[in-house]
Amino acid sequence: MITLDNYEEYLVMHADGELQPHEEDALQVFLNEHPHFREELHAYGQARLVPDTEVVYANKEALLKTLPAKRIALAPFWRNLSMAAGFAAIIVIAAVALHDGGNNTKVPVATTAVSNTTQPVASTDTVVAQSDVATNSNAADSGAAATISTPVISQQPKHERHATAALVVPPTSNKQPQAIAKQEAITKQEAAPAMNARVYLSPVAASEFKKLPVDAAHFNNVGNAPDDGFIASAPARRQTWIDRLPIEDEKKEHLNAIASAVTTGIDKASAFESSISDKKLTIKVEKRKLILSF
Amino acid sequence: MEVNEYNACVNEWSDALFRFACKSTGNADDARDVVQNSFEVLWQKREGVEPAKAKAFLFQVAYRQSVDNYRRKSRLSYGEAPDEGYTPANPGLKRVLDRALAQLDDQARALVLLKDYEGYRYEEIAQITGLNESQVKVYLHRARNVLKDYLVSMEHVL
Repeated sequence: MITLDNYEEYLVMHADGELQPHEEDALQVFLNEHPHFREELHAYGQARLVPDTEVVYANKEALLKTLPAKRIALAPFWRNLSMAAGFAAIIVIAAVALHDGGNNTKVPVATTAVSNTTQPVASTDTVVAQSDVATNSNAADSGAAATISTPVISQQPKHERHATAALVVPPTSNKQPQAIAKQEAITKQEAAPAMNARVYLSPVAASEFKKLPVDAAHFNNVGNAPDDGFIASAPARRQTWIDRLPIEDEKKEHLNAIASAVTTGIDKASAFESSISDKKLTIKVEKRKLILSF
Repeated sequence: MEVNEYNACVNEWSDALFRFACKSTGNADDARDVVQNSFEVLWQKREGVEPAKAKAFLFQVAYRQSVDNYRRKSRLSYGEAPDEGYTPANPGLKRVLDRALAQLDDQARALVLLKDYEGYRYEEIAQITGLNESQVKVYLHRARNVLKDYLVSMEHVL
């Protein structure tokens, strides 16, 4: 009920748009009965503020937030990669072992065989492709060498033996004088057409090691090497720096397997790096984690 | 509230919040601070704020900051009218209303702004300001009377 005591409240609520429909009807009835209050109603209506839409906040961009960067923890990836490298190493080792097992099961350890000769450093230091060494040796040596090297030489035709790459490492200062003399003699024979070429090869990279052929004949030759330390048959297996180490062959094989596994891992990491090199990346190293953002 | 919803609030409500803060504080620099702080609070509390209630949340924060700021300013140097640099082209009735608004206390001014600028209902204003609905009704009634009387008096002067 709108009366003269409460009509202002209804006028204000009308100006604020807070009246219910039935209240609006009641107000209209009241104003019809008291028309002089319509001027006051109009005054309340004017006492309303209108927002100035020209006033805007100019720096909205500073308030905006961006989505957090996509974070990928690569720790599991590196774990997987290392596991893959380990499996690859096992496969390589198994393949090499199978290959050796089929062709070289009776091969004695080279260093052990050589140590029985007068040239203990021959297998690890100097290996010469020399098919005619036996014929140029002294009588005492040639007898033994010839009997030993003859079957070896017969295993391969001469032209194949020439074609076989021989890894020759320059002689070292601790070589025995006899061996040096023999090598000098061989050097003189290099001019002869029938002489095999002496090839000095630098140590191969670990990544190429797995590709090297394994020649059982080479190990046979080494095991039955003549006193002068020169092997009649050209070895097919390239030496690495690991092969020069004065350790047991079994340990060398282990070291070579490790080197191969590391090389495989590096190759995979390099391939991964090259595959993502064309993307915008942010690499962040955290505690025990490598964070890659892109 | 997700990031995109927050950014939508920035684009939709920052202007209105700035206008409210300008009139509440009477100072553009203070209004910018109010807007910036309000959105910062929204960002920090976004996990518990529904997008539909983000606007009320923003004005609630802005109201508290503006009232506090306005109280501090009024004790120091607030003059007759707010900063007129943000009321351009304001002749006639609008200019008179701005001056009439300056006659109100900080709380009544905020209530009028929430009602006239944003169209909030009494119930919503009560939620924003923390008052009850009856208080909002009474305070707004008094504010309207002040504004109306100022307008009527100015009409007589002019």
